[in-house]
Amino acid sequence: MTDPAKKKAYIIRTFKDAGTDKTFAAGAIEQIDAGAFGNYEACGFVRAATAEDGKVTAPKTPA
Amino acid sequence: MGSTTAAGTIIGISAAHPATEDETGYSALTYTTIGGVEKLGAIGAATAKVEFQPLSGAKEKHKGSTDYGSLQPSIAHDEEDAGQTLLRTAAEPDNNALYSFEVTYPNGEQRWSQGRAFGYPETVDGADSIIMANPTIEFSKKVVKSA
Repeated sequence: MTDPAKKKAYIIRTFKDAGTDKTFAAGAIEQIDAGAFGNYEACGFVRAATAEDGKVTAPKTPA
Repeated sequence: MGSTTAAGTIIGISAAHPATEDETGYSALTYTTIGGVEKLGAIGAATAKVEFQPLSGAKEKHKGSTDYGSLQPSIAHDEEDAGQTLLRTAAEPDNNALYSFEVTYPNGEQRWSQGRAFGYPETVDGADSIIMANPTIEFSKKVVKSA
């Protein structure tokens, strides 16, 4: 199975994905799988990052 | 596979639709897990019974229309959970979009369908209780089972 395409996302508000155990902090820029991006965007948690947004940050995982 | 408890069952939601309404199409989508689920409810279709009593002979029973069923999950409300938030979005009164759902049993079996969310009421009980949500998901498509 090939890796799904990633999309550069701006995190609008802090949220967590129960399936991956990842927490995404508001204001961060993340590379997110295209499929997951679509779901997160549909519920208002992310939008496509623009050139004015900051650098890509590492995804946060619980300790 | 033998019988199993429900512990470890996962339900996911996707805003996308499958290219084909079969295991291949559904499993190609990305589902966001709905966290905090306490129970899901019954999964599966029900078909109406149409009876005909001829003058001569036994009563005939025929299959009528099919209802692909609904889920009434019980969920511990979490404003930051992505899956729950997508389900709340689906439940908006003016949102008529179909969403795809995937249920994975602890033994690996999976069920898929598409439906709409009809409400997301939040229940505030006593002080020693969790604020729960009880949405209703009505399936409009055949429930597909994994091979």
